[in-house]
Amino acid sequence: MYGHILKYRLMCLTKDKDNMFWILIFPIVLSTLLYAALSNIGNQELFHQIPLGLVAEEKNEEVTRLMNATDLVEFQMMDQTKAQASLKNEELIGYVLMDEKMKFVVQTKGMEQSIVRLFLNQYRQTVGTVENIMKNHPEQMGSVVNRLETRQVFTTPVSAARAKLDPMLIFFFALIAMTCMYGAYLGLREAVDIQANLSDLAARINIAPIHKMKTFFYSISAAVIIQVLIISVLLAYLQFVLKINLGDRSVLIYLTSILGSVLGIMAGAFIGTVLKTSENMKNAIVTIFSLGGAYLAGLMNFSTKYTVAENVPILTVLNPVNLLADAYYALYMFDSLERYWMNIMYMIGFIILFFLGTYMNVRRRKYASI
Amino acid sequence: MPVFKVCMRIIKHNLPALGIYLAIFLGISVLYATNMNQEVDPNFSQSKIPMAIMSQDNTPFIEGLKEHLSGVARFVDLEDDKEAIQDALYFREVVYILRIPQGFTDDFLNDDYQMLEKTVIEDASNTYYIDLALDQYLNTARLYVGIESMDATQLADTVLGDLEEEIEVVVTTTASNQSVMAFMVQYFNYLGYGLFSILILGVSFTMFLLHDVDVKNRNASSPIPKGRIVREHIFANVTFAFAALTFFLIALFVLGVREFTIPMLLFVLNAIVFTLCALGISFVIGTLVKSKAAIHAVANVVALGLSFLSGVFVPQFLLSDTVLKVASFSPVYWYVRANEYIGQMTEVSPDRLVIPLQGMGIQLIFAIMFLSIALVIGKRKWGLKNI
Repeated sequence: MYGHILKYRLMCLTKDKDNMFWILIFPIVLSTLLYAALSNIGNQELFHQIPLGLVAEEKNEEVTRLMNATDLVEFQMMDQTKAQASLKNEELIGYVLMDEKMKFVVQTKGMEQSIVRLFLNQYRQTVGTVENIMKNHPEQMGSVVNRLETRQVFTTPVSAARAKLDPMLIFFFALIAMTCMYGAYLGLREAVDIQANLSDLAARINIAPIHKMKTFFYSISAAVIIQVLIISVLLAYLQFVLKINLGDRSVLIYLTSILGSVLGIMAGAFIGTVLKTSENMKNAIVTIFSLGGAYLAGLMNFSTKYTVAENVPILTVLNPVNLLADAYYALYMFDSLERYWMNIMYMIGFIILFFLGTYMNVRRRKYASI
Repeated sequence: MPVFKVCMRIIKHNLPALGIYLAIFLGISVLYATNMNQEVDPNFSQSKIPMAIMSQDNTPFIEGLKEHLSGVARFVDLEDDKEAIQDALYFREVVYILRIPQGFTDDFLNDDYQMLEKTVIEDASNTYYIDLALDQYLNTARLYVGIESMDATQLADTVLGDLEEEIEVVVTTTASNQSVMAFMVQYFNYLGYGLFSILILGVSFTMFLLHDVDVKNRNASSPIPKGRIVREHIFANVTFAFAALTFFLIALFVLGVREFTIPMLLFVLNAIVFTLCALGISFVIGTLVKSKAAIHAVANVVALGLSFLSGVFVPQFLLSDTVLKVASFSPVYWYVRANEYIGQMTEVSPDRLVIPLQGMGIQLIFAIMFLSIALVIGKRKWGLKNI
């Protein structure tokens, strides 16, 4: 009997084009779009040499010293007219005017302008300091020059995390979590197809001589099989086609996704049995639950996840999509798995809650008339 | 105008579905609008980077260092816990964490230098910025150490005094309305997505219902000529499209943008041209969709997809060249490109108008192309089917 029900439920679910689009096609399309839009973002943060004009009458000693003083800036000697034109066309971020006093000309303010300004200030201030010391201690000339030439480095970098701090991943973690939660559409469908007052198909199934809970579990297992296949396709697509590095704990990522799929399906079944509204309304609730949850987990803006965790910490626990996304994040970022297991425990808690809710509502239900 | 009225009723009936998109759009816009006027500063001011200092050495010299760094950094309070630090770094709440060990000042004054630990995002340009300021304070202090005998307070005061000297910065454009302009670009870019989704949904709903075989046959038996039905239908959709656009423009006014400048006019003109274009695409989609559920799917994929690729959500300069090349086959790309150029207009001169006008021209060509395609497909579909 199990094989029979499973086969027909698999056929029912896979032939539901609407659901298949939202659960399978939409996440793949969305991940491709996210990838296209975001793949360059990490590079923008990287340091690039800053193009800067230098307007001076001749290339004297001071000009040479300034030009050799840093690797941060790429100096280009030019006359003032050209510098103005280049600035207007945004080929340069600004230019230095070596008049009697050094001037820095910019069009707008920004990070690069600020770095250059800081560097030029530093250059000017060092000259001032040396003049100061020379005034009081001319005999120390040698020592000062020596110290100037051997500028001390005072900082040493410490590794931040076990993996690259790639902000793009938050979008993908939220996307995988959302796809798992989209399993709720399948769970909802199963819930509707088992309650005789909700669909004709369910009425027919209910008069068959088989225990209702058995039918329900068999159906749910069909939903789980489909959802796990879908999530496998998505994970494979992300890792092998888009070549996104989700971290080195692939097995745990996969197992987490399976648990997430079960959570999604049970959430759908719960919504389908506990709420007494129309099927359309239940579908809308599933959408809000998964898409809204994904938004809070960082699907649209990666800092949302952090903002929510800082300001409304309870939402991180109450939002199953975030639990799942945070589990992926913890696997990626931290050596210790403490936070990961915490998320998993909450997820299991939700699954039990949804299961009990569904069970209480479906068991021993009799219909006087439909 | 019975067909026109029917179309309006269909749209009215579907307002809740359209309302979701309106609500999302307005929500995001309000969020951006609240940030709009925060950074208006006509003078040159340094950018500030979020940074955390964890110091075990509290001396006047370190206080001096903090004072100097406050010119380039915004200090963030951070719990000294490994995971909290990693979290904050990952989400860019802080990009530079500096640890100062105990006894740093004492050793420094004795010409012996302990290293400071920094935890940063690798190779990020803004960490160089803090490095530069940090390096300047400590290396200036180092010049004095060993030459003049000073205690921590004197050293800090002397160094801070030296570091007060700054070069003159000349800003050639007035930056006063930069943030408003940035908001406008953002708003009009998002408007592209919001309007596009709503038009695809609204137009497709009416097309879908009026193309139903029974409805079509019923209409064919009415005394209204076929041409008039088509004209009224198109007129209804155009009315709907411009009503939606007007709604977005009123929202902009309510959000506090009340400037009537030439860039503003260009933004609106660009949006009008884009509306025509989106209408054309919506007509094509409306004639092609076969089920009501598919309308939502198509609206999402087409509007979201083109918006992502064309730079509505992520600015075009952040997108890779390949993506931009693909995107240039869509009108949304030209709409966004025109918006970005209008936003950068520091002065209105003929050579600055070329790119926005070019963008609008290309969108118009797209609009005409899509309308023609829709009419050709539609003409076949408007024919009667056997009952």
